Amino acid sequence: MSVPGARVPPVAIHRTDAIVLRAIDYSETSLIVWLYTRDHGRVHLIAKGARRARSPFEGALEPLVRGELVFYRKAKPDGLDIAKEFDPVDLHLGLRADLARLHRGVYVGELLTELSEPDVASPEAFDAAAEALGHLARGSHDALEQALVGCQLRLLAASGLRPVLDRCARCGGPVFPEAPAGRDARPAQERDRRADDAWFGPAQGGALCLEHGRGESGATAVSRPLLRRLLATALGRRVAPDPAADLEVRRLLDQFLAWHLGREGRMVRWLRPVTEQARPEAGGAGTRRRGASTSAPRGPVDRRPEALAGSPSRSPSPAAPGGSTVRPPLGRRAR
Amino acid sequence: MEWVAGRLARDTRHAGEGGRWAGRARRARLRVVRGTEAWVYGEAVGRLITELKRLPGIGQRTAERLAFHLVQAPREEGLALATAIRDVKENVRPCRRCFNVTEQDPCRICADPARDHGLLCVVERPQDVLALEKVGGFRGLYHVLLGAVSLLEGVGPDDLTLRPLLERVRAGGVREAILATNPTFDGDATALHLRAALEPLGVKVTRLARGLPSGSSLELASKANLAEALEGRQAY
Ligand SMILES: [Zn+2]
Ligand SMILES: [Zn+2]
Repeated sequence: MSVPGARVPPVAIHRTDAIVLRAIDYSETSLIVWLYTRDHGRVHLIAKGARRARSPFEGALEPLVRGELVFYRKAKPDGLDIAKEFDPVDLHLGLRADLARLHRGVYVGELLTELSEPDVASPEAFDAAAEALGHLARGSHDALEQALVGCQLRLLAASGLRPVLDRCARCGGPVFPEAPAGRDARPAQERDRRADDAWFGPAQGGALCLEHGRGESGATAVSRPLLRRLLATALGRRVAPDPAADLEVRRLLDQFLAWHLGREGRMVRWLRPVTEQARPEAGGAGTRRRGASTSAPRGPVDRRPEALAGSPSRSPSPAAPGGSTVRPPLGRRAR
Repeated sequence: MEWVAGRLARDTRHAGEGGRWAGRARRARLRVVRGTEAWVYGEAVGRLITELKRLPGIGQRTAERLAFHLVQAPREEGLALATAIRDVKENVRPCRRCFNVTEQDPCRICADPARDHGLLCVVERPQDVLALEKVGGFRGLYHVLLGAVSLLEGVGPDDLTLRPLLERVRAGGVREAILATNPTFDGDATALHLRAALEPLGVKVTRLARGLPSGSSLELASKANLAEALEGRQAY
């Protein structure tokens, strides 16, 4: 395919595994697409002719489709790079047939977008998302929440934001007050029954012991089994799916991510149980983006790519509440 | 976004564009400062270019081309366009029942007693009504959502005409709602949200079939089309 009117010859052609994050109508025939690639991290490309019935992209440039991408880097740094081919490998059609799958899949896409910066590669993040999307599209219903939790943890780890779970994030001591061996003869189940065994504080970096968690702002009391479950999942151990427990774990991670991203995930309100969702205002203000630096919310009509104006690469990351920096790059520079 | 638009304009070479006006336009474009065209050609032309640029898919270059076409066009032609735009803005509004574009309220389709008022075809945009009417054969009514759910862009079902749709169904008389949103990610997401909202009301919910385009061959079909056709296979 020739590039119409290109004065500067394209300098490099790349072929990489990729997941489509967003596809925005640009003109009658073209799309601007955001993809998360395995080798180059997040890229923003123009796909010329993608909206035509017969296009080299075969209509596959749609959110959450995984495929093999071929794209050009433009020689000039200010130009949009050009998508040449996109060959779908996994359409994840299951996501489009069920609301629970759809909402979780879109949340994975949102986290991948929000935790990444353009052109910073993290194969770990790509693999985590690709695997999770496969599970979300085809896995059993009971394991959906678990797939999401696993993905959240792996994306956090790839961003260098792994929560501290095996000790108190504040004092480094044990999270649970361990009874000396032989002293506490109660069965483990009974010991686990206390709901305030430990705390989880997003601002403090993870698990907190009783002493350091109580009264901390934003910290949530967590039971021992819940924290164990979180830790086991973070360590990549096989845990039997338990939708109710996985939901609790996911909510802890939602809070953790919200603290680091500076706002609640846009998809979080859709993942609330239906009874909570029924309130139309639920999550209204909370789901708004904080600044105009990233893509602004758009109405149904105006979907032109001005929303891309200040892509995060061009604007400094806003500071998180609490003063530390936000949105550390997933992975390393790749260009 | 100026840089993307500019880049794109430069990358696109329109065929058949030439002549002295285009030459002037090109020179004008080279002046980077915004509003230069108003300074060169006067306030009216500058304003026309600004207004044309608001239209979807129209960038600086196309806006200039259209503006200079209108400047050169016969007086009646330009004024006919102006009148048509005025008439549309003054007389056309959404139908109160189906939100289709209409000059009378309720629209002709909603007001037609010969049509099946128990059958609702739910579409994203007024253009979709036109497309379906051109095919003919559908004798029910429509409901235009005026958009599609796009969760990541912050467009939820409540930003569409979902509530009026539910009111229509609750009012009774609707047997079946045909979800005719586009076979895209957003169209599918819209259909899923509609189904979740409609099913508790006891109305039959169906979705347009999808798959292989007629008159084509398996060999030439896209992977997406083939996968969907397999997924949506029917007893035969
Ligand atoms: Zn401590
Ligand atoms: Zn009507």
